[in-house]
Amino acid sequence: MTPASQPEVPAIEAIDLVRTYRTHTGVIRRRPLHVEAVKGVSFQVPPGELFGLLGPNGAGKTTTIKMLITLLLPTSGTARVFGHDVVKETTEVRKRIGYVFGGDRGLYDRVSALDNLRYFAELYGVEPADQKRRIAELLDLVGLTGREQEKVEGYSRGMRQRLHVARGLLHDPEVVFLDEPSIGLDPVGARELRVTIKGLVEAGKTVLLTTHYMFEADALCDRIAVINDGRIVALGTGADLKGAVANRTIVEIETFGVAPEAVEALRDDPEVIAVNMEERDQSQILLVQSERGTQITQRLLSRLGETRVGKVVGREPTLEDAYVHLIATTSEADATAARAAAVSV
Amino acid sequence: MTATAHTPTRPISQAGSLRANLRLFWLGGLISYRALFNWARPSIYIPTLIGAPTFQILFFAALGSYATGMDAEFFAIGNAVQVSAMSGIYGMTMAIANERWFGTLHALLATPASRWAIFGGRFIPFIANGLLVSVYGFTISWLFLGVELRVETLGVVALGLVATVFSCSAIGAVQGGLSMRLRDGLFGANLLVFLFLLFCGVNIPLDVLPGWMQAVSNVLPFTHGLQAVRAAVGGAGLDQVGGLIAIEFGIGAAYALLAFGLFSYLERSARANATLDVR
Amino acid sequence: MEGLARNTRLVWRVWIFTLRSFLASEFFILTAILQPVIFASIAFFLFQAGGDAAGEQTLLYAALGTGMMGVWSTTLFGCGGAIQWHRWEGTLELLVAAPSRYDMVLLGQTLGASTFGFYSILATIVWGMALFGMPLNADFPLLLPVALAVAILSLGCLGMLLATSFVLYRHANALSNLLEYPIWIVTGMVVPLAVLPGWLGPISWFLSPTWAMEAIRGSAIGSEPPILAMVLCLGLAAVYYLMARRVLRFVLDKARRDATLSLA
Repeated sequence: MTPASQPEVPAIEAIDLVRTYRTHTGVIRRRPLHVEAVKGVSFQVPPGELFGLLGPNGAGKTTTIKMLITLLLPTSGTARVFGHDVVKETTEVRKRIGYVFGGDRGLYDRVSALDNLRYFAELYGVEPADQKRRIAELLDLVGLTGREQEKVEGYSRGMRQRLHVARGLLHDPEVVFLDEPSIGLDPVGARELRVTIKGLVEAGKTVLLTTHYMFEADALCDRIAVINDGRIVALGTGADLKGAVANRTIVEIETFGVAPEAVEALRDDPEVIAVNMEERDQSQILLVQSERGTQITQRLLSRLGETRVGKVVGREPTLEDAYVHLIATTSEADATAARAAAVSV
Repeated sequence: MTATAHTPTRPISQAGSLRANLRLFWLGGLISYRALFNWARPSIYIPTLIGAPTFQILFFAALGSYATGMDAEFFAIGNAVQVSAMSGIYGMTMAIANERWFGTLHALLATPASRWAIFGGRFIPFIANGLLVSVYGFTISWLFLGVELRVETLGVVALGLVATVFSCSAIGAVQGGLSMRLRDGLFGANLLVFLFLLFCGVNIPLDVLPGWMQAVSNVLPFTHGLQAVRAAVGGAGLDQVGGLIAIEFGIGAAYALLAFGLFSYLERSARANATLDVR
Repeated sequence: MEGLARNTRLVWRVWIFTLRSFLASEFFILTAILQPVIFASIAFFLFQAGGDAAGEQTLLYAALGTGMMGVWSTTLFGCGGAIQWHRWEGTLELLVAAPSRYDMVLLGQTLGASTFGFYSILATIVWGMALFGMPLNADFPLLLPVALAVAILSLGCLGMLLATSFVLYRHANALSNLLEYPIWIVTGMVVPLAVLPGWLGPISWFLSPTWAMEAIRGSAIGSEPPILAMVLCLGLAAVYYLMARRVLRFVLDKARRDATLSLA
């Protein structure tokens, strides 16, 4: 075996990727608008890693992925897959990557799943002698054996998703990109999908996954990059990211009809770091971050005044709390300050 | 991170090889025909590609002979050839624009497959389909309108027909490319099919049309091939109509090149400006 | 009486709504204006090539005939498309489940379709006058708008009958493609029935577009007022309407039994 000091080619490499769109605002007087979707994203993914790209809607996840899979040209910056430039060696990149995206569209409804796979096998240039075997293996992997002759228009959401995965793996790509693959899947389907993804990495593939399900990223990914507003605001393992909030405690206070002034009163408390609110049907859950959590519960409750309070629970911070904290603090932050604050490995 | 030195293996994808391209051309073309052609089901195929052409031929035969006093044969042949546009124009437009409808376009473009093979392959099933519709049209003309085809002329007629259907499908491919950007692809397709009825010598003899309309007809499909087919039915041989057939093939090739140019431009523009996902 | 007022209002509302949605549709601009205009041009050229018979009246005859062809196309595609479009949007079920009478809704839609066809006649006449030197003079000018109204009403009712059968058939659009040319032929819009095979005659008598065409033609270039044609037209319209209601009830029951209302 070669020693670890031998430099290895990263599976995925993004260097200062920037993507701007030219669009218009207004209907009567159209003014040109420059939208910066991705403002300088850099990261490296070594071979065999499961890398997660997390971020709110509109943060630039899909734009970044599309640049990496050659569907979009970067406005500036470079990206490479196993050393092949995505702009200059497009065909070489496409031979090595698989692209799986979620949702209802993206399959030929009118023909069978088998025909869909056969067609994409031709598109990926899979050797004819191998096609039948490959297709059978993949149908087995995603659990669609026996249903491949049915027309896709009759498939459920979960079945379509599984077919997407099979399609993306036909040519045994070394790098697999999954764009929000568990959207719209029921919990059982989503769990099966995660098992499949883990299997891919165990087989030696590199996987880049975008998602906004925190627990999924936490459970699956070796490393996570959090992207917000077109920039990476944190990069590291799940533990690293939680480290930013590790010394905190979250107190969850269930309220019924809390007034904004009461929430502000909570925020004004000197030991409170952040207060986030989740709406439920009849109630609201206030997530109060502080360092001494349960020790200051009495004070917190008194600040809420007349507000009707239900359950009060103290707990450890999760990745979701770290994420929410990151997004909240970086959304209004200055660009350079955000980059300086990024935690990296 | 991990200490294993990963030497990138050769990808199993053979995309770009001649064999892969040929398979994509033929087999891929056939699969995408079934996947994208809205009318591939008998319940739609029969009314639209068999029923409608039948009555179109009868209608124009009646109108033409009544209005001009000419023999119905002129109009029967013209329309028997023109009905191949159902496949060449509508079919090709669907074969291309429906990728947007199904959301498969970006999955398609993320593959390493040769674009020539992908889109070139889509021609063949539609040319075959168009020929079938025209042959059916000639059968109707023979059955009901007394159009006689002599055996000696069949070869030349067939050649003229192939040239015509090819150039019709080629302009259909251009229309398909345009419909990727425009909102309603079938609008342009319908308009084209109607214009063929007016120009191209299908219903109106070319010399009756004003000069500018003759000029337009000369750059459209059908015009030259149809002349060749008419002459061949009348007994002319390849030596007499070969030139016309060659021109028709040439026109088709020009439209095919235009279509590919359009697709390349659209793909490049989509990568530069992210217009792929607009429905 | 209250029911009648309510239903009339319903039909009227749906009529206007349908008309407005057609105006916004490129496809219907194509069907109602571009297609008739192109066919009119073909007819004009052919009649002119025919030489001596191409008098002034011939051009008007061609314009009215191809305009009427356009009215039929809009009605046909409006009716077939209305059902099909509602299927795709998933609103067909909603309409049927609504408390208002679906047959009234359907009537409003089909009347909207045939009314939109009015643009076809306008377009072919304007086109003929502008580009082919067709003079416009009607022999019975006061009857012309009446004839048009009768035509639109009767075609709307025929459309309703068609639409009821389309409710069951998943690919209504395909049938619409099939029925365009045959009706043009059988009702003698541009080719007089006199020159067509005799057995078509009796079939044409039961189709209101035949009489509608007679009425419009008669008002413009006829020798006597086409009163009989208009009466027959209206009579057939009533028959179609009653048949449509009967068929619709049967068809809706079947669709609900076979669960095909929601299928696209």
